[in-house]
Amino acid sequence: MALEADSQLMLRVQEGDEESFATLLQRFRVPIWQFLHRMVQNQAVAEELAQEVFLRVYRSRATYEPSAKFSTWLYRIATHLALNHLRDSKNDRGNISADEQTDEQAPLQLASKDPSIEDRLLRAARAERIRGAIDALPEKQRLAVILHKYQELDYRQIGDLIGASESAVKSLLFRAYDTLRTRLADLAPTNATKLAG
Amino acid sequence: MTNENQKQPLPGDASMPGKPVTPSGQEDLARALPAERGDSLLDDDPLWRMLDDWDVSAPTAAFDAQVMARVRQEADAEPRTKAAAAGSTGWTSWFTGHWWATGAALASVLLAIVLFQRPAQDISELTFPTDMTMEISAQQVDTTLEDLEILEELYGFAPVEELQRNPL
Repeated sequence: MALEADSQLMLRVQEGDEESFATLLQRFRVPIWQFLHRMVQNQAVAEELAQEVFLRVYRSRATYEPSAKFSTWLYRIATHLALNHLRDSKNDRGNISADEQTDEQAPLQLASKDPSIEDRLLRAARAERIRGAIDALPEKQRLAVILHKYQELDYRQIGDLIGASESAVKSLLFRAYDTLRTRLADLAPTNATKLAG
Repeated sequence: MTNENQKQPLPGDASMPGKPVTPSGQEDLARALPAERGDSLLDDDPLWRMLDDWDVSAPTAAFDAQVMARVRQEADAEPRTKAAAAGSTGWTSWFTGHWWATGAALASVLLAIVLFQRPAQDISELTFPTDMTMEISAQQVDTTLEDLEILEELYGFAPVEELQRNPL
């Protein structure tokens, strides 16, 4: 069976090829960074964790075996770091320093670069509602939605990451999307159009 | 069997918000999402499009440089770490891993050397305090004779003579 391109690059990193590592970094920097950002909802923490992910990849190069997709392995490291951070910060909640500003206080990133201030505000409010709704999901459902919707991983990869079968992932996602539909029912396109109009 | 290219609404879609998930609903889902990700079906779902509104920023421009700097730092530190690891498996590990045993062994060897290297003494060269012994003995005899004289005066007989007459 032919190895996927990313795994081949990682095997070259194993042999000491720094250029291949730079290529992998270039290829996965945005998805890993955005995944961590959505998981921890803090830009500074996401950046620190993303650096740690790539550093761990480099440290683990000697023991790397291309038994699974490279991206699955990479997301496994990122998921592990994100969940650990969330559990640690849950214990330390209340000890958040001023410079550890969460995204709830930070300006929202908007998908569209619409020049209209009113529209931007509306979109910001929608984005905030969506973020809140996803954040309120149980940990596994939230992880599955982020991996499925935003990171575009398939059911098998998500199953590998959360330790579930493909059908279990489908059920998990079904429940998660169903909950989101209920919570975000008032943001349905018809309502949004009315608001925007 | 549902064709994955045929778009149809998902169970529990926006038209029925809040509908509880039933086991049969989950079976419906398994049938409704046969594709690897189910995107072709989800494209028509209003929720799917709505979720696009939550965007996050991209990493900073310095991100790659920071990662590569840390990686090079790590790579530079590795030869030293490997050398240290190699050293600890050689003979010097004796002084790191088993320092207490090494110390005890060295102390024993030193003690043995000190004991066995000390020159043996000839018994003829040994000196005894003979003068002192003799002096003590003369004093004791004098004291004993004085005691006998006192006894003789007290009891009116000479114990030595008495003993000679009536031996025990």
